[in-house]
Amino acid sequence: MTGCMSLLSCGEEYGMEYNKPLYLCAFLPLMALLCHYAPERHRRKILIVADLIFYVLLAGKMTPVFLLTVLVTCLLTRRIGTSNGRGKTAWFLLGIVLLFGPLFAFRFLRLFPSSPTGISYYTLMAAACLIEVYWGRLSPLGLTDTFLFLSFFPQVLQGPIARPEDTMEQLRHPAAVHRPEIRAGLLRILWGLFKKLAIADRLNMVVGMLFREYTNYHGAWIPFAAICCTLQLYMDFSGMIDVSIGSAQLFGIRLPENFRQPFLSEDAGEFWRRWHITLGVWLKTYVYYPIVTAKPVLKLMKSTRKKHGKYAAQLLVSFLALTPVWLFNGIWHGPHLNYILYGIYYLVLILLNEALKPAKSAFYKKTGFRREGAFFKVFRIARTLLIVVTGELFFRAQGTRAGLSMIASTFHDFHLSDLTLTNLHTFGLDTADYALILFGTVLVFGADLLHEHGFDVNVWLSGKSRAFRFAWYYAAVALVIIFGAYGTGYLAVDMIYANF
Amino acid sequence: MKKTSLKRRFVLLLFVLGLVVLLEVLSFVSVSILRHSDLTIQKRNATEIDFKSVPRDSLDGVVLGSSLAYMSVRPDVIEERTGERFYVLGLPEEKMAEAYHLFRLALSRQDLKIVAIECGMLFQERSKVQEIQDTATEAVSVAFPIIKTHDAWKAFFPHEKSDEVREMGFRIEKNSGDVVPADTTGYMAPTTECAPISAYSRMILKEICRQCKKRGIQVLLFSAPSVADGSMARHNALVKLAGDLEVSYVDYNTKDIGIDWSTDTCDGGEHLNLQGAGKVSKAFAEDLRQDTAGDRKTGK
Repeated sequence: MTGCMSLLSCGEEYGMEYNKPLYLCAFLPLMALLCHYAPERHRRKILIVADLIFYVLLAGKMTPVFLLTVLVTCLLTRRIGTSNGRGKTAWFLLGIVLLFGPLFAFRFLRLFPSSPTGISYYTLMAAACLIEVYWGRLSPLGLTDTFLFLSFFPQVLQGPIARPEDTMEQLRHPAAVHRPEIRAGLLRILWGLFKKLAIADRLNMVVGMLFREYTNYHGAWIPFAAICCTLQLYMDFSGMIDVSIGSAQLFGIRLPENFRQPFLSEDAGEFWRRWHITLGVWLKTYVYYPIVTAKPVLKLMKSTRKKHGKYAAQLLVSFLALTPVWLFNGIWHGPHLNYILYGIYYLVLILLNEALKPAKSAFYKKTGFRREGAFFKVFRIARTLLIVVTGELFFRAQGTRAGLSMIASTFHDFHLSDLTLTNLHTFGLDTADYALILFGTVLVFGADLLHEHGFDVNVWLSGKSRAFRFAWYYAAVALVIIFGAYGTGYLAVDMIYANF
Repeated sequence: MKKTSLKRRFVLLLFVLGLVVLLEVLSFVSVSILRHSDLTIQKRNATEIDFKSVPRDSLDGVVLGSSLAYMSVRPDVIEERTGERFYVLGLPEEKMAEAYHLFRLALSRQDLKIVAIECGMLFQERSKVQEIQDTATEAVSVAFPIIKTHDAWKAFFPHEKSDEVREMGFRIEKNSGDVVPADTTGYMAPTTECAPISAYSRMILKEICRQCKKRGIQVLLFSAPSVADGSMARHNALVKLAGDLEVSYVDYNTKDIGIDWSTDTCDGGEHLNLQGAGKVSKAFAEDLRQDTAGDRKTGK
């Protein structure tokens, strides 16, 4: 009993995050082997036990809050499924309140010193279940189905935010795992670890110092800080998502992708269709579409079209539907004004893009320039990068005032010559570290570019000889072991998005 | 069907063997690079690498411990006073698992007569999982040192040269000559309480003692003077522990060896400066000579 209590009270000190040795070298291989060699009828049970152990080791005494969410989701989907009319709506609204209540209490009101692990992610997934049952697209859920869906350990910490249609059926009947999936999963995990350990964790020292002591830096240091923090966020989040997706593959579960080469986007809207895709899809499915298809909105659109034309009607509807989407997106990240302004920043940019569409079309028509031409494509990508990097600067800053102050100080005493190696060494990284960050970034973006053009490393490898494949896997292992920022001289860096 | 399964298992075995060979090769290369490198980042590995350069069977004793050990015990002073050669196998915030690994390394290379242990590391607060991870990391890094020396590739890039001087494990660092007086309020205030020592630390210490006893090596526990780390609660716990293990314990916080906290510390009481280390080393040598020499020589 004492053992159980101490287990429940310790929580995070068990180091079960996806970048920790306990997870990578013990928990994951053990559970994967168990699942692989177990008879098919036992796989589901093994997954349930694995999920429970993982969550208890991570969340400790906060585990009951999660289990309560599972119970509420299960009971209310049943109630909604068996009710009609107003009763159904009442149960649905009660469910939404009961699910988002704890999120609000823990994350926004901060009524307790710490939040249950993954609350921002599993709340959205639980809400998706309620909404789908309410819409009649999903049958009421059993307790184990709900638990498995919400607690699948490779995703409970930081997503991807799955919808029932993504993983529910796979988890309900875990299939046998085949060697190609295992190989692909392991390779994906190694790739994710390289992004996180070799690049993101190194950049953490630079980003930490520049944003913490932002008053000491101005001019060229600010864009440098913005670029570094954007890179760190991408390498950290996408790297850890790679580990999540790769881990799930070891159990034969295909999680939805969360990134699709976001830095090749040509506008802010496209960026959000490629970055944190599952959050975007969730917002589109459960916030945007219900608003756009709501009767009053359709009525308003009709009347506006009659009075002011199609363009005005489209703009109005976009504004009405996108405003809650982007406010939700900002607030979801945490109760800070700069997160909300970050959401509004993208709202304005996307609405502006929408508003300027006719003008842009007219421009291309009048000048005869080809919109699809390489120059304009590169220009649009560069412009989007500028938008994204500026947004991330504001997002990462320690508050709204700090963000505004950093943006303003960019224009003060700007000298690119400040960025010398001697100055860069003051962040605790040496020349070798910067060389590795550069090499790693080129490698990751090179892989992104190949991926964009349809290259699939697993398909490519399957056509190669066994010796070549072995060499490739060994190279991946060596890359992580040699270049990872772990052990002597490094501090372990938490997963950034696990804190949202 | 059976043939296919066997073939698959053979391929898997081949892959694992290849991986082991790869890790061994990487380990060999990285350790070779570091042996000739002055990378600052490798301080932790440098102790082990430097120790391996000491001729075999040329030492009488080793000192295990954290920075409290390698900034307090000067082997040159001990040798001058007792004629015995010591090496300080200390690491910053040395973990018990690391101490045990270094102890095993010392046993494998030297015919030791005494093992002295600075006991500050026994009080480190580590969770059960961290302790398991420490043990696993040490075990894996014995087989594959690349886990600890993976940064060796940095030696090929311009890097900051290490500014510390190492003399048989004793470290003279940038600030070793500084004088930063300590505030001794509450230092070694009387109490009957005992500071907690984890079961894991006890287990490793007990194992070190067992192996020493088996080989006729004497174990000496001691606490280096430190205003930051020294306390009567720790003193009480260590007196009791030494009694349980039937080994000697000397606390240089309570013993009058002439430490003046206004002149003998380089960082306000956490560590000693060169002058303070000299005083501890003389007292340490004296204790070795008076109390334990007879036993060691007879190999008891």
